[in-house]
Amino acid sequence: MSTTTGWLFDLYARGNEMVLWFAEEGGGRLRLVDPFEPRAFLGGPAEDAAACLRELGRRGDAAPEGWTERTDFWTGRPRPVASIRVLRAESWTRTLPRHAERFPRVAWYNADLLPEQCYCFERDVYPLMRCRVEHEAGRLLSLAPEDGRWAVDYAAPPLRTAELSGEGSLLGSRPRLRSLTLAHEGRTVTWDEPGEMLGGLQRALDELDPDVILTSGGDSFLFPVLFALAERTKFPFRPDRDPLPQPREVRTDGRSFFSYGRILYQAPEYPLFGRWHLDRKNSFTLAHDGMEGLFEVARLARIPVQRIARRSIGTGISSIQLGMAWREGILIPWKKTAPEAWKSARQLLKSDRGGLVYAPETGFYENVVELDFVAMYPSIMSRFNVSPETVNCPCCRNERVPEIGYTICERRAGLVSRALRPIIEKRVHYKALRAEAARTGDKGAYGRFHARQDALKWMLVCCFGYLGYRNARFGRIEAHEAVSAWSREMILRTREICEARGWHMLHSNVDCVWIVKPDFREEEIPALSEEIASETDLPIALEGIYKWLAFLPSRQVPDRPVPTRYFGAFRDGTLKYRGIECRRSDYPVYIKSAQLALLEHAATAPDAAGYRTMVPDFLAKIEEWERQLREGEVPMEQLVIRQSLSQDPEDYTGHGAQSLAARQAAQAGLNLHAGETLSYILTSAGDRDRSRRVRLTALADADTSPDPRAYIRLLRRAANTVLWPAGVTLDETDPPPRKKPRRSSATTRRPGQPDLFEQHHR
Amino acid sequence: MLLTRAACFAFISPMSSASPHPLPQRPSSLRDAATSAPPAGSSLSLEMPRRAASAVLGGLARAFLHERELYCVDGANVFDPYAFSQAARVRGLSGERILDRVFVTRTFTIHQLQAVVEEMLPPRGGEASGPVVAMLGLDHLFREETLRAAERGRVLAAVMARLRGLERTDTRLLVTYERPPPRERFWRPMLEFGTVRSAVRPGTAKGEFTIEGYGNGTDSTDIQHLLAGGDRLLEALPPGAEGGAEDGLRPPVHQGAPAHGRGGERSPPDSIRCGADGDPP
Repeated sequence: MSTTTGWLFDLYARGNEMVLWFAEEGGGRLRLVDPFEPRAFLGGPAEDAAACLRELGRRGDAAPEGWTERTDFWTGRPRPVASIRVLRAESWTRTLPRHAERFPRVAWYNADLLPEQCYCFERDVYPLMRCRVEHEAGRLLSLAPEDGRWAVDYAAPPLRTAELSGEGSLLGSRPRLRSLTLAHEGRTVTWDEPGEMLGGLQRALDELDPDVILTSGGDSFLFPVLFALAERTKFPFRPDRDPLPQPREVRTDGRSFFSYGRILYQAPEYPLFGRWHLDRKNSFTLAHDGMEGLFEVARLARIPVQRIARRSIGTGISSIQLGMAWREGILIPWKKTAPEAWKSARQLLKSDRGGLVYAPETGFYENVVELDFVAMYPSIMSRFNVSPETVNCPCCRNERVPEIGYTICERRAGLVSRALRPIIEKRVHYKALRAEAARTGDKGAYGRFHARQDALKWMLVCCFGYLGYRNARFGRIEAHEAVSAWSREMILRTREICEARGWHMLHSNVDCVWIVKPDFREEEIPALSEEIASETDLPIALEGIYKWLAFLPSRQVPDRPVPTRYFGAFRDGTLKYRGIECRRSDYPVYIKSAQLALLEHAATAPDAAGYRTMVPDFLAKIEEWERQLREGEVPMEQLVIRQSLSQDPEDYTGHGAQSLAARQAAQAGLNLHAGETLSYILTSAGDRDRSRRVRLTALADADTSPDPRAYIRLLRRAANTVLWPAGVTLDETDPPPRKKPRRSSATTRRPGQPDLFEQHHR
Repeated sequence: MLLTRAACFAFISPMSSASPHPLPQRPSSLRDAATSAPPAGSSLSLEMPRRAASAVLGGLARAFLHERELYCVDGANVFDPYAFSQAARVRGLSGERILDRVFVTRTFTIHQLQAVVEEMLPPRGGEASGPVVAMLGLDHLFREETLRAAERGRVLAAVMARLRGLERTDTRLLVTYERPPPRERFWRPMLEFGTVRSAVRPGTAKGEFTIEGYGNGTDSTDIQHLLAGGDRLLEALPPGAEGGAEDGLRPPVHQGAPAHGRGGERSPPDSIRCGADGDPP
């Protein structure tokens, strides 16, 4: 028997075993196996369940363990269920639906969880857990944790990371690689010959043995192309660390799906076995919060890093709830069947509402105070016990939810509420650690704690949406409505308190308020916050005091205010802006940077009058940028417009720039899907030949040049937003006549040219 | 302001030859199905764009809500109280009052839908003359791409079997769905459902739609009659029922409202108009 200390690096099911990889403290990597058969339960009519058990046993898919009792999620009462051990975890996702079809009256519980999740729940372990391992002959004997899942000061394992990138073409039916580059610890190897790529990469992987292969587009392009190339050339390409061959299906098509009214695209997945492949373009958490954020989510959700990286953040919060239910013996239903109770249309009118928004009073203000409720929705769920099983429970009658009169259970603490509480507390702890790191100037610690708290923030953000999400196991529309009702009530109370103290509310938006009061003293604000917190039982914090703030009108209807379209500068000079051009993903970097440069200059103004005196400076800058556009001095990459496709390219029919670019992509054979990003340049916006108006960046060549008129129009639109408080408007419809642009090969920033975003903006 | 949605108009068209699916030889008339006590086996099936559901339902409200309650099983998250009450108000009903006589349950998975039809229908505690049950967007959840074919087939069969069972009670049924892809056998049980079948088509202008009646024995004027608010119903209303906004059954008072035929006479095709500000035009 041997003993080692390290981190649980990776785990995946293979047959009726769990393969576990450990990153040892000394740098070694250890592969162990642990026999494991996930446990599931089935209920329903006894005769159906008995017949199903016989069938499962006869086919060898699962081994019955006998009848037992578990807790029903909705009633909290014990329910008799048959326990089974899944014998073939790998194929269970395919066999389970067949059994379910054959025995439709059988109710399945805990049946469709990932084997890795089940293993973590049952053994009470988690990815990246620091642990002491006892093993013998490749088999795990025992695993003793050396840190806690809720610890805030844990250390991540030192990992060997290689960056894999490639250049190629997605045009045509068969994507091709022109070159492949592997970078590791400052060394870079590039292969240009297709014949050398696979062999070279394989040798490099064998030699370097990286833990992580980082890519940008590895799932959608690099790995499918590499595997397809290996298949074509019969090359034994093995990017995994696991010595046993892993079956893979080479796919280039992912899936498009709707989320919060937007269509998103999820690329196919190419995980590795024994090492990680992480694709920045296919991972929200990695892209937003880096490895530290990803580790935090994987540890809490108990889902292997590669898998959680490719899932929505909601999967993380959902898994925390599943784990809690599992550990407490609460049955996790496979199919969500609990229907919504009848409600009258009048009740629906009252309850089916979102957060409360008071439209802003359009204008330019000084000394505005912004107060934000801290994690308002999760706090409501946690403090007021809002959980699917506690809303309108059969045992209580208190009509506690304001406005809509739903009852909240007084006897049970809800699963969702309990799952949220430690996350909220952990985030508060991280924020305190981050503040401490900022105070001591420890940049490493600051970045680490910031990433971790940010990952938790996203979890908390989506926990409310998950309550109403149709596929959420622990979701229920009434609970979702109850949270919204409470939030509206709290904003109303906040307004009353503010007004009672002589403040005027300019705007409120779901969980934050903007208030003003003539000649207020800063010392008044803590007392105001305390009173609001006490009255609402929710934490509220001062976001900041603006020295000036502009609430902008609608662009389409100038006399109409628009929530979340504003910009302002706090007293410390920090900018905050929402809903304006520099926040939009479909504006070119150059225009966004230009607008931001104007705002940064404006942030030095001490007050509204100072802002207005800066107009000549603004106009001079704008004139210079227009000159750069006219003279063709702006690098092309800064003029690229990136837009998410709301439908498949061939479905576009209009003549707008996006439609034209989408059709260009379809005609060129670019394999794009709804939800993917389209990149193009405006080349001749007014051309009668519509096909010449835009050019996809993938098709751009030496003759491609941007249309300065079109970009000047965009620049003026962005500039007008900043000029609005000063009452100055540039003509957006009639930019100066076009001069023949000089094509520029410039790739670096020129003097006076706006820089990319900086970090201190909120 | 209660009513804020965009204007909607409905026109009645003559029978269309473009019937999406064959009809039974002798269906009950729509008028029978909608304005009188429901005979056994009566149900109305409407193919329509999803978004039209609330406005069409509001157009039918006068007939549906007469001494009855309306229960909507919303499978496509389309029931919009604003659009419903707006359309109902144009038919002469008090938008606010009728909202208390309409009950809604929303389903987000086919399993929830199955649970609703098996466990919550017919609704208990309804009024004596039998409720109207509207299955809105029946097809919607079955279009989910991640569903297994066998699973969705089984659940649809179970749902349709239950609805056919309800036809044998005094429950009156309205089923709405969007036009399914042609030649998909999967949808047949849904397409063949309904003793009266019709279709709602988008009109040429924004906010317009057209209700078609087609097939042997299905009288488009019946649909017109139904949409016009059921003048016979109006005659049959209890005294005081037309008294104004308080009773929930205020008669139409506006000039642009449909001209109702009297004593069996039919007016020319007419329209339902809903002003954007909620007031009748």
